[in-house]
Amino acid sequence: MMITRAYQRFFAIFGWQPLGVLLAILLVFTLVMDNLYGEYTELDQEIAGLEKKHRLMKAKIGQQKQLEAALKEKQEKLADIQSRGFFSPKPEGAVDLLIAEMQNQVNSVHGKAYLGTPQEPLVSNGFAVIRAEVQFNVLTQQLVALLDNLPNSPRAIRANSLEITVPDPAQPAELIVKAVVQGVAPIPVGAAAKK
Amino acid sequence: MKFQKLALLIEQAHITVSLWTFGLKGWGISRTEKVSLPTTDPLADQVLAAIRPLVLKWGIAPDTPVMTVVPAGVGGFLSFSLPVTAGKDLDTLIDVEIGKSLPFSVREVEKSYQLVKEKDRVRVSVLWMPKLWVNELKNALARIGLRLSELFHRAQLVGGELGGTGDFAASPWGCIEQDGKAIHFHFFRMGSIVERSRSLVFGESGRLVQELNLDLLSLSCIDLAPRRIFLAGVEGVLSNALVTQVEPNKKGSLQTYERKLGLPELLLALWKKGGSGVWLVPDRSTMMARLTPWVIALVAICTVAAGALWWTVLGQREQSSQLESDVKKIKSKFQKASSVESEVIRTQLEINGIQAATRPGEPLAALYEVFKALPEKAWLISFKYDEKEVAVEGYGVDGDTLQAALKTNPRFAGFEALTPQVAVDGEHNPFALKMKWKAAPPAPPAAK
Repeated sequence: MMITRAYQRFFAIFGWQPLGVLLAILLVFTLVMDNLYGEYTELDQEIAGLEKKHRLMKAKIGQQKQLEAALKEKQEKLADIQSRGFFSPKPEGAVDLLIAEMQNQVNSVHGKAYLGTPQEPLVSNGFAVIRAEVQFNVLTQQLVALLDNLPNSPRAIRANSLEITVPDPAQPAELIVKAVVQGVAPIPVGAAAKK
Repeated sequence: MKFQKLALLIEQAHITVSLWTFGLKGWGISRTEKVSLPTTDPLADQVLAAIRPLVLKWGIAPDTPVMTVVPAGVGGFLSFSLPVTAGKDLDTLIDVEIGKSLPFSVREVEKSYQLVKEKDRVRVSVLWMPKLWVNELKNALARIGLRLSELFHRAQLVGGELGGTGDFAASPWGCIEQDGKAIHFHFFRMGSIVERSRSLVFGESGRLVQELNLDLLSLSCIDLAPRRIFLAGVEGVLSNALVTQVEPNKKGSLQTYERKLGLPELLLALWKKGGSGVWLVPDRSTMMARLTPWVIALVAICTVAAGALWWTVLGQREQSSQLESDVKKIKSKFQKASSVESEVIRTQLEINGIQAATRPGEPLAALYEVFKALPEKAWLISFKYDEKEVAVEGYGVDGDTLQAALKTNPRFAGFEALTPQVAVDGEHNPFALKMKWKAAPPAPPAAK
C-alpha cells in the first residue's frame, strides 16, 4: 500500500519524466548492446581468423623439415637437368654452343653440317631458351639415327621443326635437312638479378 | 498524466487560485488570481462558487487535479514517538495514537505522516484533516469536473520555505505570520517537521502575547523551545507587542522576516521538492505506477544481458590478444618455413620450365607415322614438321589414297590437299598433303 502510494505520488509530481528517463536508459542500453554486439561479432571474426592463421602457421612450421627435404630434392633435380644445359655467361654464347653441339651430332652420324643461324633467345625464370636453325646434308638412315640419338645427347636438344627435302626426286638418297633446335642456358644468379 | 493542475490557497476571506502547467522546465505557475470569499470560515460550496468563474474563464479541463492549502482551523498536526521495534505494525500504532489524541474516530480523518528516526524511537509527525470537510470539498469540486488530489497545511509552506536553511535543520524554530485577521503560530521540531500549528483571530495584542507565552512555555517543557521565531507579515502594533511582551528569554530570538515568494510559489516549490500533504489516493493508480515494476524488471534484464555480453567481449579481447601474441611468437619460424616453401615452388617452376623447353620433339615419330601409311612403291621428296603441323610431298600414290590411309591414324587430323610442286613423271602420281599433328599425351607422373 505504502509503496503504491509513494509511486503514485512520485509520478503525480514528475509525470512522464521518469518514463522519458527510462526510455533514455533503454536507448542507452540499446546503443551499448548494439555496440557490444558489433564488437563481439568483430572479435569473433578476428579470433576465427587468428585461429586459422595460427593453425596454418603451426602446420607450416611443422612441415619445415619436409619442405627442406623437398627443397633439397628439387635443387638436386634442378642441378641435374641444368647440367644438360649450355653454360655460358651470356645466352648469345650458349647459342653458339648449341650450334656446335648440333654440328657434333650431325658429324657423329657422318652427316655434313654446313650452316647454323642463331635465333633470338627467350629469357625465362632462372634460364634462357636458346634457339638456332641448323642445316645439314644426311642420308635417310643417318637422319633417323640422328633424330633417334638426339634425346640422349649429353646436352638436352629439342627439335622444334624439321624440313626435309630431296634434291633429286629421281634418286632420293641424300637429304637436305633444315631444323630449328632449342636448348636451355641456365642464367647465373647475378645475371638474373640484373634482368 | 494531466498537464495542468489547479492550486487553491484558501485564506481568510479570499482564495488564491493558481494554474500549474507542465512545460519544458517542468511544472510552473502560468496564472494566478485572487477571488473573494463571503466568510472567513468558508464552506465547500462557497469555495466552489468562488472558483467556478475562473475555471470557466481559464478553460480548465475535466478531471484536472486540484491541490489545496486548507484554511486555518481545518485539521492540524500531531507529534508523538513510537518504539523502533514497532516495524510493520507502525500504521496501526499511529492510528491508535491519533485516536488517543483526537476527540473522534481515526476513521473520520484523512492523514499523512512523516517519520524521523531518533535514538531508539521513531518520531511521527502527523498531518490530519477531517474526512467530512475533505469529502465535502471533494464532492463540490467534482460537480465542476475537478478532482481533489492533495491537501496541504499552511505550516508546511512555511516549513518548506525556511526549514532547510541555516541551523533550523537540526533545532526547533517557529514562525508567526499574519493573514488579514488571522494570526498563525507555527512551531517546528527541526527542519520542516511541524510540531504544532494553530491559528487565532487578531484581536487584542495582549491576548496573543499571552497565547504565545503559553505555547513557548509548553514547548520549553518538552525541550522544544524555539531558538528563533520569525515574524512574517505581522503588523507593526502586534510586532511591537510581541517584541516587548514576550518572555524576556525569547526576545533575542524574535526576528522579522520578509517573505521573498508568494504562497502559491511556496506551494509549488514544496510540491516539487516532494513535500507531501494529505494525498487522496485515486481509485485507479496511474499507468506509470503500474508499469514501473515491469520497466525496472526490463532495465534489470537489459543490464544483466549487457553485463553478460560485456563479460563475453572482455573474454574475447583477452583471447584475441593471446592469439595475437602467439602468432607474433611463431612469426619468425613461419617466415623461415614460408621462404623454404617459396623456394621449393620457385625451383619446381624452374624445373617445369626447363623440362618443357627441352622435352624431345616428335619429328621422327611423325615421319614414322607417315612412312607407315605410304604404300611400298611411294616415296617422299619433302617432309615438313613444326610440332603442330606436318606437310608431305612425294610420288607413287595419289593424294586421296594417302589421305585415306593417314586418316586411320588418330594423331593426324585436319587434312588439306595441296597442289603438288613436283612434275608429273607420267608413271607415278604426285601427291602433296598438309595435316594437323597431335602431340603425344604427357606421360603419367611416376609413382612416389
